[in-house]
Amino acid sequence: MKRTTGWLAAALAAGIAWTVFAQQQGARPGAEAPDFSLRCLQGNEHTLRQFRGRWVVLEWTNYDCPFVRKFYSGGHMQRWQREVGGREDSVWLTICSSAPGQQGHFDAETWARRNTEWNVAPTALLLDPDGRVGRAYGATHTPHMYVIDPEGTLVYMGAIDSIRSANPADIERAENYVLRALENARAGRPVEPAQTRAYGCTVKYAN
Amino acid sequence: MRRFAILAAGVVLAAGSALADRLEAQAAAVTDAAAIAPGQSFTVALALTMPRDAYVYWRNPGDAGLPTTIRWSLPEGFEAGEIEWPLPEIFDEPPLRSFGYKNGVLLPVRIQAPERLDPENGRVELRFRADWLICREACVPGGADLAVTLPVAEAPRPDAEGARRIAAARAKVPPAAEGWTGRMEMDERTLTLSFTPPEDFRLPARASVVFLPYREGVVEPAAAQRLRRANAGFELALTRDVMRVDPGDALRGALWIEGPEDRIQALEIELRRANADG
Repeated sequence: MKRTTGWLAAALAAGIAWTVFAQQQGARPGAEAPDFSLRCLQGNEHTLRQFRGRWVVLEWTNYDCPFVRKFYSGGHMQRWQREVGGREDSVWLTICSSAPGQQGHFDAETWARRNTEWNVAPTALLLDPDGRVGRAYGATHTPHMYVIDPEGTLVYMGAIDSIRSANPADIERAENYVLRALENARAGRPVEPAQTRAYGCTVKYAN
Repeated sequence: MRRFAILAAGVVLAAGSALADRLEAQAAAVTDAAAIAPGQSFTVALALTMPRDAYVYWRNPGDAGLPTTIRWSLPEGFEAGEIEWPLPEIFDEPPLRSFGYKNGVLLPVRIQAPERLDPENGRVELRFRADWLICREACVPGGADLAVTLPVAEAPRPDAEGARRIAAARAKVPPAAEGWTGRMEMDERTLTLSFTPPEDFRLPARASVVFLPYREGVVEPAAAQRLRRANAGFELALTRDVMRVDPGDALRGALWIEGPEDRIQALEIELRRANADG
């Protein structure tokens, strides 16, 4: 069987790395969501704290990832962005943690063109090229989704929906975990599941 | 012309282009039969060739990716078995771990022909749709509609080259763990697997042992698996996945044992549920 040398060492290292990662990451349902300060495309600084009192959806993105395209090609993500961001009591923040030189990292001109092409509508699109915020949230995939309540507590993290595929035809059949979490939390009902395994491309952090 | 196009694409990729659009697998149907006979079984395989260092995923892709799928459109009475998955490579990209095949794979499927087989023109066409996700830094979904057309004869005739390629792939499929028994117990966080090997089996002193479930969402792919030696065998403690997928009464998977000198042994084993709660 083909394999890399030192497999055991690699496996142990991976196990340890995973444990450390899991302990360090600040984001877990029921705990306060890590605050951040990120620039949007227009250059303005946005913090999580500034949205206290409103529901916040975080969407990790990479426009060249086929799993992200799944949700944009038919206008689904844009519709949800408008629904959530269009309400007084909620905002939708799209975050890109692709490092320079990695897939999904664009210059300002390309961002503008791609955003127009897809007619995207988040409250803000925030850039995290050094990956610090992505790592603080334990964002591993695109899309990777988070829902934060008006007090700043994380109520949901994980997959966008229940069908792990890159096929847009599955969207309507799937259960949308994000919208359901938001709806249940707004109504004061428990959010179940509060955490799922995200699926999609890996976040293209710096190597 | 078509062959030329494939070669040209290969050259571009070898030149180091990282453009995701060029990340493509070439799919072909391979069979071990030159002619089939009523009531006989034979094999049709999906062969994927791909640019260097590109990979597709195993049946349980792990933390990223999607499994390759095959959907059959067979003539009446034909039955297709499960994909026989060769043991995958483990790709570690902390904190993520996934499973797949780098540089190409051949996935065999056994086909059973019906007892009554009398096609009008003496041939049958076996069609299938294959879908996969191919990755190398970035990922691109791919798919192909493939078919093999085979003459029907009184006695089956083999296709030597196809048979050789399929046999090579089958040699990498973990064989059933003859003489082993396996049990699992589950609580909220941990899945504890107990393995009782046959008497002549010796677990090497410094073995690395990992169980890879066929089902997604049952255990955390990247979490360390703790090995404990017991009198009659050994136990593995696995961290349950955040999805808490309940494997039900039984869990099938590949047991991967790596001994000294990097010798790997892989077996397919089914673990029966010991407790009903959890």
